[in-house]
Amino acid sequence: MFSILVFLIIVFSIISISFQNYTMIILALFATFLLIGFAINKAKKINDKKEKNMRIGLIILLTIFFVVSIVSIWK
Amino acid sequence: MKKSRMKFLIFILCFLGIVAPTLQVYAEGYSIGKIKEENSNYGIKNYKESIKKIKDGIQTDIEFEFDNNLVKIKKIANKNGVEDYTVIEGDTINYIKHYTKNGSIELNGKALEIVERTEKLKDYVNVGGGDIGTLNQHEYNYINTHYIDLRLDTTIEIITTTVLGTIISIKCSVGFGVAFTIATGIKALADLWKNSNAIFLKRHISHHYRDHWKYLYHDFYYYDSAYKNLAHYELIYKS
Repeated sequence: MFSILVFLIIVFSIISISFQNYTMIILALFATFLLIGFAINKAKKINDKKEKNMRIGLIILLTIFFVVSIVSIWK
Repeated sequence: MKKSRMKFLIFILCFLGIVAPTLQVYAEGYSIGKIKEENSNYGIKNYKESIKKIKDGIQTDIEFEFDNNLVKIKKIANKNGVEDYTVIEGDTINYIKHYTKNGSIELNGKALEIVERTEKLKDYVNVGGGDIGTLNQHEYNYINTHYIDLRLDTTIEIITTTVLGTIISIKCSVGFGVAFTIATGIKALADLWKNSNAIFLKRHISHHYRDHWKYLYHDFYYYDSAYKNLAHYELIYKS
């Protein structure tokens, strides 16, 4: 699933930059959010509580960076 | 080599190769957002659309909104690198002057300097006409034919780094080494497609990245009759 999403993100990105297509960049953003969602889901399944929290924290931090950057560019 | 030392080395490599560029991309995204915000305060609207219509041959005069009034502008003279424009419709602006020498524009005698030029941009100034190579030709052809929106490019960079970060964070269980290998592979793949034909010209302008993004916004305010034929080229090399 991760590989498919990464592949899709790359394809959407290429199309969006090559043809200046805004729909494709939205799809790429959507796929990235899906990827983050899957990553959080996977991290939740870790048994070690400390490691689980650390990984979820990392992903959330990354998501915050991601959202702030995207919003600041497009607002 | 001791395992702990190995881990430390991999961590440093990860930091230099991935974390530092990631932070840089985010910072760049943020600064672009700030520039856009600054530029939106000049009260000029629809200039870009008007220029596009001129390029497409739909209209001949520039039309844009300034302080919520419709303004129509027509070029009347071009002497010694100073272009004069007259307003043919609109009450608030009687006269507009566009100095190709320094790229400034005046509305009713009031100077409108949109974005302060950076040191990077000044690199162009001392380049003589004979030094204009294929690189610059491509660069301006690309801007003029594609009207690129560099926000797309920055967004893709942010997406790429987020994806890399996500992969690293979930692949930690198999070790930093594997995560680092995957990340490097993806980075290499990204570089590969960036270098494809469609993106080729984009790479030429990458070292002027920020300045050219600004230029896209200069387009909102500057008009040059030579715009269709490398307007920025004229603007810069006449300096």
